Amino acid sequence: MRWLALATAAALLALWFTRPLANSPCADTYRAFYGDEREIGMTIVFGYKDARPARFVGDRYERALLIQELTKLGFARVEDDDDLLTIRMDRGRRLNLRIVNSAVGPDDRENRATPYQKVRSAEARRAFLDGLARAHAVFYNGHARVGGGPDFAPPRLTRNDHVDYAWFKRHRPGLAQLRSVLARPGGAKLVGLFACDAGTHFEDMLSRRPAIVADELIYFADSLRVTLETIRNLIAMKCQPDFSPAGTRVTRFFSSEKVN
Amino acid sequence: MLGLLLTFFSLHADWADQARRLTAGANARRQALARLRADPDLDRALAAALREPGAFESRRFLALDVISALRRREHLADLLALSAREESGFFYLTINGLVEPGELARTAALYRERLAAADTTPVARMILVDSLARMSVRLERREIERLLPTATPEVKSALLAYVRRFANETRYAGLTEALTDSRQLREQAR
Repeated sequence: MRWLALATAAALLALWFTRPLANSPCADTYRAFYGDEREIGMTIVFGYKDARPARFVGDRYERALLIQELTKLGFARVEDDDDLLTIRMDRGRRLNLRIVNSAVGPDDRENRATPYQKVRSAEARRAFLDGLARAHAVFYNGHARVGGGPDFAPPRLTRNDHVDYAWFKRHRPGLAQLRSVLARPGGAKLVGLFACDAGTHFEDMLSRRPAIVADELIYFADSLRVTLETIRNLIAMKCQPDFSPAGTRVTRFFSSEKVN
Repeated sequence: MLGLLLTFFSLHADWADQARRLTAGANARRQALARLRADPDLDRALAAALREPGAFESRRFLALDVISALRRREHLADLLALSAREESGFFYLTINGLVEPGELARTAALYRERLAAADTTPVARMILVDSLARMSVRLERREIERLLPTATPEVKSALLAYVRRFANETRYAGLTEALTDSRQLREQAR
């Protein structure tokens, strides 16, 4: 009996989150966002979330925690691809949600000594850039590096093991990668940047795409909540007044919105 | 005058506001730590925050940050008890930083129990495996095998890292094959 009650609860929950909003006042926005496509792609990439000068790195755990919550909402794992989760939406659509993280372990010093870290960082970077180029929506959940992000690798450090913010500010390595992808037409119809002061640091990028950004310091748990809420809002086709999770700002996504 | 007002309000800011400043740069962190230490009500507030529900309830995680940063060992017993039911497993990360060398064996025994418990969440399992690896605790082969049927990819990844860390242990021979049933896990094992 217990399993039956649980299965019913899960099914009802999944139905609630994927219920159609045919009369949505922002139907145009979602028609443009989803189009006629049956396979919807979204990507969430966790950047390398070190806590320098401490050695702890948290993105592996944060990704697992987000997945734990998503599976409670009815998302299912896909065989042979641990980064992919799926859920049925209304109108025969299926959401394929790719969730990738950057660190191979919880210790920055060990990660730097592991060859697999380079592979993992490259995979996270590729997932983010692929998401920008091909997915319906892509989200970065990681450090802004004072505008030098997004960053998927162990950061450049000063001699006393602090992140070398001056270097990141001067070179802005993350943004250089983004620019080349964002300069091409098409690609993600919504870019989420859940990093501290992302609105300020990545303002030049925001002038090109519909985006959802954090405008101040964002704590990791808030960032996870915002990520989950955004996915739920997109599935439920929430309109602008109900869309923005606390601490974020949406620009150029809703069709009625004036461009700044 | 404005400065005085700002100082007044920042002194009386909620502990969680100070906790948020722990990652806002060295000076902000120093000031936040001083104000947290001066807060006479802090331990009561932390104990309450540890009990706040919600998967992403920031006050619960901020309380962990403060306990770690101030090394408030008086919360250790509470953390050990509450961690049995807390779903993020992040309590174990804080416990790891509070445990003294003399308490390691007892803590490791508790972690092994929790690892095997049916109601331990996948994230908590992952953190427990990582923590036991860092404590250099050698799990029995059967302890790992018992986890496999219900292990999520994240738990398998943690177990794979664990087995590879102690690759010279013959008791783990052949386990890598059992843990690499996806593209990502095969890549990790390479």
